Amino acid sequence: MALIGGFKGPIIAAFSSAENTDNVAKQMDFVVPIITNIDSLQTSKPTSGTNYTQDPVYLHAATHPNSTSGCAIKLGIHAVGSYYYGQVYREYIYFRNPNASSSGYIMQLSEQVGDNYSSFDSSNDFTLTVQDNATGKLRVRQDKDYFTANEVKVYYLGGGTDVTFVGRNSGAPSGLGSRGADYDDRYYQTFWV
Amino acid sequence: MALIGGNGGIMIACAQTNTYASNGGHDGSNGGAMQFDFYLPVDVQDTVTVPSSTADVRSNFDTRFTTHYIATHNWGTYYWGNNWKEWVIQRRYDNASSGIHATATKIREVIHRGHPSFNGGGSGDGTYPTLTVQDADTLQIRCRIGGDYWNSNNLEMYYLGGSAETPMIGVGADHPTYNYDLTQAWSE
Repeated sequence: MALIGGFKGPIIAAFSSAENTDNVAKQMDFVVPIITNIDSLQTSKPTSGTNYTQDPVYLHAATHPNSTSGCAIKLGIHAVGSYYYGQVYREYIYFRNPNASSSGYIMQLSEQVGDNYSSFDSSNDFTLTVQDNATGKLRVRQDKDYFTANEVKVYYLGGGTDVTFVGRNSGAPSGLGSRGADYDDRYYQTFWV
Repeated sequence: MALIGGNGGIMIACAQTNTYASNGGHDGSNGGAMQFDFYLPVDVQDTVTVPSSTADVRSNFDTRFTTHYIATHNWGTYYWGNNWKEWVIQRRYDNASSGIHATATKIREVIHRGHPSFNGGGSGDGTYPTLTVQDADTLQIRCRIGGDYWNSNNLEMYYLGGSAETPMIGVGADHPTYNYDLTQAWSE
């Protein structure tokens, strides 16, 4: 068990262009968990409890997520090259919204550029794009270095749907409105205030 | 176990604003904004031990100071758009005067306004959500969401890191020493 990996920081996709033979820019598709259910979030309608019809957790679960719902996931991508050496790290947010169900959109949150040789960073051919919003498939393209010398690692940094919900109502819908119903009574959220 | 959840993906709160005045809920009279409270753990680092030897850098370590790194995703479907914000919530203990204090600070965000009126409109940062400290002792935080039509706001809140129930993986008397070591003595 990797020490940090056992707690956090998984790599969800990676590629190397070392075996690239045709001098065409290397790209890779991968699917992120953004359309599945939050499996620890209860979805059955509550029938009791204080103001249970106002329960924001249930209301959220009842409308989210499904193949057309909104969601966001944060990814960190480290692109490196070993010939005209260099490295770039970017953080991205991939947004989905029902009003953009055919496309989705990706926004860059930050970028840090490493110890790059000028020929490495002269190329802008490092992109993350939505390949298929219906399935959450993204495409990362990296050709900043010599065509056999590019590598990419994609880290999951937060968000998405295949997560563990640790807040109130995470298991059964019984006893809504009481702290005793919490999954862990130190991590609960209230009704509207 | 959720796949990503097993690797650190944690949702700590979520909300949708489609509630109705007839049920004692929101009537849309406040620009769509609604609020709820959530609580962050304060009994942190349960594997940290505090040695009595003053030669140890961990002596007199106060476990009450904490940092929580969280993200909010606020999205709407009418004046539609998405807004991701990242926050740091800091908590400290003041020996000299008034005890525990906490602050909530937004550190960065990205926003996509599918409709130009979403979440404050224009080209600036999103108006919502906001996080404010309600009580530092219990780390009760109030989240106010809005920005879209009153029944069209959604929110997910994720835990990204910090000292909430986190294991200490360095040296500790009650915990094995893993790969990472910590110098046991002060240096200057």
